[in-house]
Amino acid sequence: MSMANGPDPIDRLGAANPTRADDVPDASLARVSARIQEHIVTDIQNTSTIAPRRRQFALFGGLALAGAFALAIAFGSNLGAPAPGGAPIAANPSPSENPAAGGGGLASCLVYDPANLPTFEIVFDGTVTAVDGDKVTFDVNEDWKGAGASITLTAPDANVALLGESPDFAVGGRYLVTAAGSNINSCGYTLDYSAAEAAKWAAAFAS
Amino acid sequence: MTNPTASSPLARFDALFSEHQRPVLAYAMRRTQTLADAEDVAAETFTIAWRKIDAVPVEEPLPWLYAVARRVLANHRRGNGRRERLAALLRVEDVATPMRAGEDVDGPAFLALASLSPADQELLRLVAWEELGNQQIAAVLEITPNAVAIRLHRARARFAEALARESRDDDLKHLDPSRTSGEVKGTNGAAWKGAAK
Repeated sequence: MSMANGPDPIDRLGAANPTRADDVPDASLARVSARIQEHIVTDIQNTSTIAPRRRQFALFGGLALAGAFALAIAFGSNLGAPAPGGAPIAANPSPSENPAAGGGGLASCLVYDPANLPTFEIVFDGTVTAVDGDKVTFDVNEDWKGAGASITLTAPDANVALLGESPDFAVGGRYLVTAAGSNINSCGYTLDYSAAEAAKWAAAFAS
Repeated sequence: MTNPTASSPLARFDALFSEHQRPVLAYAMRRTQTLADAEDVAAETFTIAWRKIDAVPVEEPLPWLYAVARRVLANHRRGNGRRERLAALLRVEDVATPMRAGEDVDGPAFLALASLSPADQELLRLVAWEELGNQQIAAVLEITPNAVAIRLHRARARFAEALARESRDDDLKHLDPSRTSGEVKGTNGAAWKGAAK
């Protein structure tokens, strides 16, 4: 509605908008993101311990309990309980220096430290022999924990920035892999193979 | 950007948050007194969205998010006393919701809006600030689009009348600086405090 003697009052009110979406402080968004991450991690953790909801948990892109602990810590929540089957992970990790860790969206992954590797259920050095959808089959070159000679696992959902980045698995490619159950972990704990990194992984299991 | 049609709930939520975090937080900032309150509202809104991800419309989720935020805001206002008692213990910072920097405040526009009923104010804010159409506003307010059209027609007329009145008063203030505007009543947010300066 236009006034006879001036601009549309609604346009004038629009121009007086006190906070445009582009003006929202990034620090505020980061705090909001952190709060949501805590809730998600808690939900995932709770779901993993409630039998009737296990199927729903399976939808969450392959995060099992170890991954949930990792995410909880990664997100700076207060859920930093000792990781299952190993030494406690630092409760207040510094930002990861692993370029493979982290990601867009909500993600801020667990600090990458090969010392955490024994806390994962499956850890190995493998070469991909087949990729069928999200199912990836590996010949295991070095089985540090739980893999056997060959293993087929489910790749992380590449669309979920929350889970952090993981390699693009290709037949013939060699990778350093951790997994929980049948699901490959991401957040920097599954990498393209390098001899230097493999040596660190081997050292983590040497003691 | 993530794929909003991805089937995983986590993927859908991740896309939803990436796409709409700014408008939802801005919505909350325009309706709360402090940044901490706005962050509370935005975080709670998205947490609800995460837990009800299957109910979030795929095509146009923003009005749905605003509708949730509106209910969260109402709950926050009801629980304000309790939160304020906790604030001193929990908050590192509790700063006023910031205004846009470097721009003059349109005092008459804010005063005119503040003189209307809360229902009229919210309708006009959704049009002018969230830039929603009638269908979208209907989804936010959970009323019919027809009801939106009728109420909006009346609210616009009342706002135009109030704006003309406030603009006249503002002109008179410039002619006679001894006339000052008082505290703006019946509204929320630092934006309104700016109008009373």
